[in-house]
Amino acid sequence: MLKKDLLELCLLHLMAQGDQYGYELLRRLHAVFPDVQESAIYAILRQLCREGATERYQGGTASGGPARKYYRLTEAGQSRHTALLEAWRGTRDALAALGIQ
Amino acid sequence: MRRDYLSRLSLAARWYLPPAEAAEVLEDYREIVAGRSEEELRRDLGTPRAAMKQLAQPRAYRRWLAVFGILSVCLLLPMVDVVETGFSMLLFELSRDGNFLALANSVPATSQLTVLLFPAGTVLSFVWFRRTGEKGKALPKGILLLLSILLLGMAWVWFLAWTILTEQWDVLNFLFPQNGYTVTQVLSLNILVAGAAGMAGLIKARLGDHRWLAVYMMSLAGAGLAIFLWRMLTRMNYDPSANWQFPYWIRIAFITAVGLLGTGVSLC
Repeated sequence: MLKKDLLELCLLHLMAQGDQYGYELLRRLHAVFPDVQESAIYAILRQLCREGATERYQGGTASGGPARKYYRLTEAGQSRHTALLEAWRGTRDALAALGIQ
Repeated sequence: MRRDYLSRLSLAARWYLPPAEAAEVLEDYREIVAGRSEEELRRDLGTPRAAMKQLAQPRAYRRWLAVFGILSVCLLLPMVDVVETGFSMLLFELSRDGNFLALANSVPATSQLTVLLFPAGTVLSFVWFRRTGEKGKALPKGILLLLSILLLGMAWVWFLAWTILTEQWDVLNFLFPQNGYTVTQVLSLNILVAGAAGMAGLIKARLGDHRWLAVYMMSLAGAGLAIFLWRMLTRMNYDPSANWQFPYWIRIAFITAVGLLGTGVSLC
């Protein structure tokens, strides 16, 4: 699995747990992968939107500020999430079989 | 500082992305950028150009670059031999030696391409920007300023065309008493100004309001007119029969009418 696929999996996984505020998604992933710039994570998020795996919508405001943009998974996104999760498990098992933990 | 980063980001987004996508991305980035210093932004997001470049869809971006390249060629290619001749004329003036006719005959024929490139640039720019461009509320002042300059340039070329085509040699001698070739140099200046204004209009039409296309359209017509007259003067190969001026008037009127029409429509 490429790092890009891992980041994609992480984004889809977070969204599978519920709709996510876009900015928060970037901050959370950047905290886990500090060597990846937020703009790169945002590019993956946009690509998922373009491919129809996620949808963007305007949510409520935070303390009277401007409306926030939220992201949610589509059906295609759920399928993609499942496929990436299986690929990740396959990779993890293959590495474990070689003694790489 | 944050504003600087955002405005540079905005320019990069409009260059790399189609207008609708650029607007959406910028809306997201306003939230992302909020409350961070320039240093933090550079560290977490990279330069505005790099941040937007990775969002560009290669195919769509390549298509835009191709259109930009073609439109630039339509405007600038006919100017190549004008510039080259300008330098040759300068050398000729300095050396006071050589044969002007031989020089004129050695000029490459890119100015001849105006016949093809003027309509091609007009149609392609119109089709592309009407389909993909976006329009702000108020008309930018820069557009009016450049259009006024270009309009003055076109009026000047019309006046020169009138003096030449109606054989007003007294007027021409009064305007250019020292050297007849100065008129071609003045036309070259017209052409270069139109070229610079046209490129500015083209870039601004992508980065901001698509009505900047009006500047490109008028530049194309202004440069086309001046190149046509310049070519007539440097070649001097017109048919000396009766009514020889008529075909020239037709072409001058055609370029002007199409240019003004394109400019008007681009402003709507």
